[in-house]
Amino acid sequence: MTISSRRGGAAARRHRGSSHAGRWVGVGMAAATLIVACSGNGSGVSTGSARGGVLRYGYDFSSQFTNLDPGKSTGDCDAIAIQPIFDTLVHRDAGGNILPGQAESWDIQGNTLTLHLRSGITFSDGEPFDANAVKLGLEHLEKNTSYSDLGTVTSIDVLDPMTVRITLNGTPPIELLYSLSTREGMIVAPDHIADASTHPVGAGPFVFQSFTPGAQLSLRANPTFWDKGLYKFGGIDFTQVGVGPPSVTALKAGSVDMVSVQPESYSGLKGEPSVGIATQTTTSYLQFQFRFTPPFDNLDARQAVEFAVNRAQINQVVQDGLGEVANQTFFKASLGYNRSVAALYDYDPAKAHQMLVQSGLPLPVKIEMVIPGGNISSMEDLGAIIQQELDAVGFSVTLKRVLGSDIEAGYYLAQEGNAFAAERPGEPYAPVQIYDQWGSNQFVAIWSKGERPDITSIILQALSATSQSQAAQLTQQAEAIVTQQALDVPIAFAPELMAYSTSTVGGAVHAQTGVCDAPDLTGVTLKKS
Amino acid sequence: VAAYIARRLLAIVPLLLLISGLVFSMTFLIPGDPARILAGGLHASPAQVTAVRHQLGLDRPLVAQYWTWLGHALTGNLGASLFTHNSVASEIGRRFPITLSLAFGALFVMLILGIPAGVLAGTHPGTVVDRLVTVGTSTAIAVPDFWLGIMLVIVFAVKLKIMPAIGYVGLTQSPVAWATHLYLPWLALGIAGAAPIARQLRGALIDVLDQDYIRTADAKGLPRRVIVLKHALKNAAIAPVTVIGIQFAYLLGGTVIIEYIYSIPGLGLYFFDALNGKDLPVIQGVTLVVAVTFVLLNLAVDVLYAYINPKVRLG
Repeated sequence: MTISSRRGGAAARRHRGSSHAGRWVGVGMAAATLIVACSGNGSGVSTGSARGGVLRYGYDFSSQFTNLDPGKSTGDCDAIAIQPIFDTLVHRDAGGNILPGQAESWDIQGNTLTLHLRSGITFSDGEPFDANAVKLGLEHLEKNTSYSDLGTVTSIDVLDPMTVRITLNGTPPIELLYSLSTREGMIVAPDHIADASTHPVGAGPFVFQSFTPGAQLSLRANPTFWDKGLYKFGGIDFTQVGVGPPSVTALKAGSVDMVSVQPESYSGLKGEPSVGIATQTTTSYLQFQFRFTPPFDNLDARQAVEFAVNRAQINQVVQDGLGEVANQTFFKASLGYNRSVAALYDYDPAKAHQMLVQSGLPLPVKIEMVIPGGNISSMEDLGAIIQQELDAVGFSVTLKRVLGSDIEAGYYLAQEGNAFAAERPGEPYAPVQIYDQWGSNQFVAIWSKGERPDITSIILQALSATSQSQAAQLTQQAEAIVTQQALDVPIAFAPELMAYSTSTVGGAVHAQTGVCDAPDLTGVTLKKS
Repeated sequence: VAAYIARRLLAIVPLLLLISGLVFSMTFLIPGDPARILAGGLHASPAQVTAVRHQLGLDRPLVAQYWTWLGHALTGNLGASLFTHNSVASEIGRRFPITLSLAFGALFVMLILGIPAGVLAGTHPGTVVDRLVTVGTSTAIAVPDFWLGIMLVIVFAVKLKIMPAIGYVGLTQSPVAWATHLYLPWLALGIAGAAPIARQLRGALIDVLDQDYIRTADAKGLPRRVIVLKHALKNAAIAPVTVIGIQFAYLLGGTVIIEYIYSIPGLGLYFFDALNGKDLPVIQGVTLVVAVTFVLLNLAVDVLYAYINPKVRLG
């Protein structure tokens, strides 16, 4: 590196001095280049291959992970990383149906849930997976204050070596059954309850190998897993990848084989020849939620909103058209879906205006709509479109942004705004999705002034149901009231997207059924390096 | 010098007390209720939330909570994370070296880019070189480090595939892999930081090179390299040293976005997540450690002043 000079004498000396300094810079850069060259595609650089049959799964430890021990875990998304270690007592499919897991069957009678355990299961350390182990495991989980369903368990009794009876005081047994398909159903091996945070041992398909906090969790196939052959690869390395652009670049660069991505990343990935994307509709949905005070204590005003919102357009803009357009609280495959109310509110701005005039409220009807703050592009789009559509039919909407962490204090407790537009997290069990919002003594229902005795009565029956078909029928009945009374404006169900490298991953790839649900990896195969 | 350092260290004690008090009380202004999160979120009944709040001691008077926390902090116990239950001190001990390695590497990039650029521009004022440096530094200041970080990943990891896109490998595990994973983050942070150093140095050098003693040295026939590097640069370095101190302090507290983009498990990411979840012990612990580091860095810069310029009296 040399610097030219047009001056004489001293200038020539300057030239030499600069050249000397430049050499040092050159040496530094050359050294850096040499290290890069030496490292090549070695340990530091990923090549995109799934080495040794190990799946590299992108996971954001910093925002999704709290603890390896389900008894100490405080985040729903821990399930993604720890379910492969522990498995769950029961499983749940995308439609919300409960399936056998480590418990082969179950009975519900009154306030008790009896689990009949599958025989022949052992923990990966060799301990038997029996009723005593499940009792100890559930008692360990009960101490976790974040598990509200297990919090109402009054006793856990071992009826025989493979049968456990759980008695509850408060939570309906069927709701607990659903919770047993999540972290609340992950049983830690009795001898490892004390050190499960650092050395987790369960009876899942994979065993713990190593954990570097914030960076990587390595699991390897459990040779003693009861359902041999279910998984077709030898291990999973959960690798730290931030949500958003970092996950996309990590996948494109071959640093991970598979990662869950957000809908806004879809357009940037769909044209990539070496990237596949699996999608899944979830129970979470974009929602316009009413506060049942003026003007939304008026049925006509609420129905005006139902007719004014163009759900398909919002789904296209906010979710790249990937979500299922909603016409009620449940998506089509859910057991709560009620066909009879599916076509009540097709997009019709003229009808919306007519309903607003019919409401008797002075036009324009001024409302304040809260949206999540923090400049989240999807929420800004959602707010802007709804504002424009409601303004067009006779409302006058002001947007108020409240940070996500302040929604509870701001929108609910401090009663700021008349409505709230956001993505509502879904519930795995359909009746709860309704009960949370309009059931007596439920947080959202109380603070949105939305408690409904009629819905409460029906849902309590659904929650006490002893069969899924009975629960489904009652939930659909409640859903009919929700839709006819325009208690909610569901817009579109949020999709989950799983992006994967087609050069390393084959077989059937499924997206998660919920944002924090463990992905179904049973169909995944890895291509050889 | 030793007496000066001792006096400054003593003066740090009330300053840190003040900082710790402010930090502790301000964390309670952050929106959100950790007790509700730990009790199961919106599903939790008021009784469950109250029980968790009591269990965490969050229902005690603020002053009582502060004194308990301070007592523990003085013995090196910064408590445990509300959510992961891990010791905050251990986690900081594990993550701080990672952030330090990021910050020192970025500082190195700043210096190897900023000092030569500043010297070149300062010794060639008004020339094409000077203008190029000015344009370059203006661009570097204008470009956000997160944008540069993503662009570097796209070019070197996604397109050329000669660098890893994400991750961190410990120095003791593999020095080469450690450096390979940090090149891009170092560049992303260092390029923007080099610009103010180059600008400060350029301005200071132009002033110094106009001094009588420089003309005397030139008249005596001293080589220009000796004049610039030995005589002028030392006197021109005072302002840039301040900038370097500030930049380094910024790096310690401002690596969060880069740590996020490159998936580096450092202190910034730890703090950011703690803020999101209102993990009080983590927020308080990290802020205290960073504040202590800032104060010590300030002291180091002051001592360095005296070394560079004996006219600056310590005391």
